[in-house]
Amino acid sequence: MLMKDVEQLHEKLHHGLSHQSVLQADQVSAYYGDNQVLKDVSLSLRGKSVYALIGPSGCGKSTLLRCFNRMNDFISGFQLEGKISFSGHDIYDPDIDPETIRKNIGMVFQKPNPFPNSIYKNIIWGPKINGMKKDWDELVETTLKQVGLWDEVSDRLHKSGLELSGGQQQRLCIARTIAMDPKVILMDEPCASLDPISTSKVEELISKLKEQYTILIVTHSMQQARRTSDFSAFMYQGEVIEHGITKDIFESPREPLTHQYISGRFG
Amino acid sequence: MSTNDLFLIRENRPNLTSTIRTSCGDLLLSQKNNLYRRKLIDFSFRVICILSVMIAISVLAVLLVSVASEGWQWLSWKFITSFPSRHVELSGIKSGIYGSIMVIVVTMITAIPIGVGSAIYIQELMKESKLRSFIKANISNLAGIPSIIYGILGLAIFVRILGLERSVLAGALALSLVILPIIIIATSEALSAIPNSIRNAAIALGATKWQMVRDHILPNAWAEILTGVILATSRAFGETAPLLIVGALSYAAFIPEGIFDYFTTLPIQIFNWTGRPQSEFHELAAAGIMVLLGILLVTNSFAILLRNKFRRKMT
Repeated sequence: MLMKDVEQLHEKLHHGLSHQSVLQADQVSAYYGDNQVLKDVSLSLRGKSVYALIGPSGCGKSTLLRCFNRMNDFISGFQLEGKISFSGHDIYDPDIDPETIRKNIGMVFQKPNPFPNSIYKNIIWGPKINGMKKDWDELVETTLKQVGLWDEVSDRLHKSGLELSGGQQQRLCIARTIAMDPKVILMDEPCASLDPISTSKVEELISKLKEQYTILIVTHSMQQARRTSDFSAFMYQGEVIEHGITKDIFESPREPLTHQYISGRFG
Repeated sequence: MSTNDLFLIRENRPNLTSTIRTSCGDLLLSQKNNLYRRKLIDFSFRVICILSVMIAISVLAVLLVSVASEGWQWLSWKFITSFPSRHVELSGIKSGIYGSIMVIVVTMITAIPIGVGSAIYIQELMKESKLRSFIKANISNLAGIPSIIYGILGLAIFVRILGLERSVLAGALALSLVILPIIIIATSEALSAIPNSIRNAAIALGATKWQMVRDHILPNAWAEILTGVILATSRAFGETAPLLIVGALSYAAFIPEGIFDYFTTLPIQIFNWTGRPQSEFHELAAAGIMVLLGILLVTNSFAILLRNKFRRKMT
């Protein structure tokens, strides 16, 4: 990373504070029944950058990710305290439809999960049910080009998405998400089930997508966090121990716990 | 290791291999007894399983052969298209077949939407909770209740309280009570076979639950649901007890003209004939059973074919 870029990031981090952030968690605590999984988490995501959530298994990073698009709503006994706002609006406000939140805050899952339908249908279904009116052929072509799948699948758009390889399926899932024109994309260990070559393709894609979207990625791979993200947050037992510019977190962590984790002493 | 050592090993080689051979032989021999015992148990297990299958199949075969040998001579197109009569040679199952078809159609119209709807609610819309497990457990219990109990319930509610009398509708409603739990269970199983990743994908794209169910859950589950529904239908087709309680006629020389008309069904007609003292009527009953079995065989095979043809790959 060039020195100039780092300066720009610092600029973004500090001056950005006065601007409104795209996605913000304010003292968020979350519970599954009596079990507290998030403790007073505060995090602020500014636009058009990649944020990585790192930490050992069970530290609450996936739970936090799912709080941002209200995917935890369906889990019985789930409770949330604090406030999460998306461009200034409280997303847990009773007046706001969770469907609208999820349209604007897309999500990519750990295991590629294309619908058992054609590639074409996979992409247009989201915009269609959200009442968007578009030229579907054009939408399919542009989104597939964005994720670099167009050349690989343009001759079999009406074949099942399940016939693609794992890496292609995951890029199809990303295409399906960006077809909705979201502001934020949440990614829950998007490369965990992919081989190294597919992983590097998805990582390249992430770096390209941040020109248009804000990306929050949960990852178990510290190398991946380093390679793809601008900002990182280290979580441990439901708390954000440290967050800041990825380079700083990895090269000069302030907290001893962060240092122990990134040097591989636990987790 | 020096060359000297190597030489020594080479020198000792024949000796060494024979030692290995004998010790391995001992090893195998020492375990042989145990193996014989295990093989014997394995063999007996196999024999017991084969016997069970043979008993089941032979009982069925005896039943089929005795029914066929008795009823064969009466089976004809005239038998199917005639009303029952005091005269054996004029008797047929026309009213039973028409009655059965009408009752089944009305049963399906009431039971399918309610059953599938309940299953969708329990499986897709309810959150995981104690109430949900309680309801699911009790639906399984309802499926195990003897159908005659549903007949009594139907008599009390549909015949008496709702005043439907001994009509096709009352019988069909009683039958839908019998098969509702079966349809709910079959549909629940079909729905739970759909991986959660598909639900997550749909919800994360901003879909409502209805959009998710309509576009992704039902299209992937319908073949399995339909299979369950067909199997429930054939169960309803063969039911006799609840209809007897509700008051289906045991002798009807007419076709029901509407859902409020009196009726009889094929199983009831068979039941009626077996109760007659004359042995010719028993043979008629056997012929009726052959028709009933034929219908059930066709519907059940259709259900299995359907399931195999439309089972979809989902992940």
